[in-house]
Amino acid sequence: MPELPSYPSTPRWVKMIGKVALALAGLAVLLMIGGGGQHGPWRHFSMRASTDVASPDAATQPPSTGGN
Amino acid sequence: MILRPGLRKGLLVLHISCSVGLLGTVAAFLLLAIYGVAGSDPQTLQATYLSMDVLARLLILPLVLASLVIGVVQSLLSGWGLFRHWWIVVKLVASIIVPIVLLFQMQGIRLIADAAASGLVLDSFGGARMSFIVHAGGGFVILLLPMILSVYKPRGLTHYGWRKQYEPAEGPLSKIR
Repeated sequence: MPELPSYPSTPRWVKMIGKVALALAGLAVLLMIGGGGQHGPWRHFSMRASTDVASPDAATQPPSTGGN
Repeated sequence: MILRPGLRKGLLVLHISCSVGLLGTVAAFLLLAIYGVAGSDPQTLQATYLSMDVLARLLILPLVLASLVIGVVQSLLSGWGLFRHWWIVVKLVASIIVPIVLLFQMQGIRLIADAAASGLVLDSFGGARMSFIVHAGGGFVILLLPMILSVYKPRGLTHYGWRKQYEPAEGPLSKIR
């Protein structure tokens, strides 16, 4: 069986996209650590878990006006 | 198995329709997300977040999945292969990241839409509403990448593709030998 020609290096554009993707993944990890191990919209809701919107069911309740 | 040209073109039309439609829908979602942060009229905000929820559930998610599945089928049943060319591998990775991020966002979108529908003041959800802009903007940019790659098809074989290209062709005769 004839020997294969040696593989040329990975194209530059692939390396470039890979570096950008790694940088973005690193940023996401930093944000997750900064957000207390959570990422995504839920970290914004967890702040309110003890108040009026702890669950989608609670979201159906009208806001407290403080006048009751 | 390689598809007949007519069927291959049919799949290509479907794939392009889903991908371009998806890009347009994400752009509309992004615009609504920006409007949701910039606007102040409660009724308009309610309509905005309800529309975003409908767009995400009934259009963006199905289009993302359809585009991914059709793309995979298309590359496997055409001469291109799924792992032979770098541009297809990068497209595949980008197309997998988008639905994953979207699925993480879906519950948040639903919750804000529910809150808006029930007349809750949305001011306290500022972080989540801003996150929709960031994620939709990022998604739009990531979705542009497969589009650009599909048009330019930059050269570059993967190790696997390189090996396959120089391997002796597998045919009926090679099996007899």
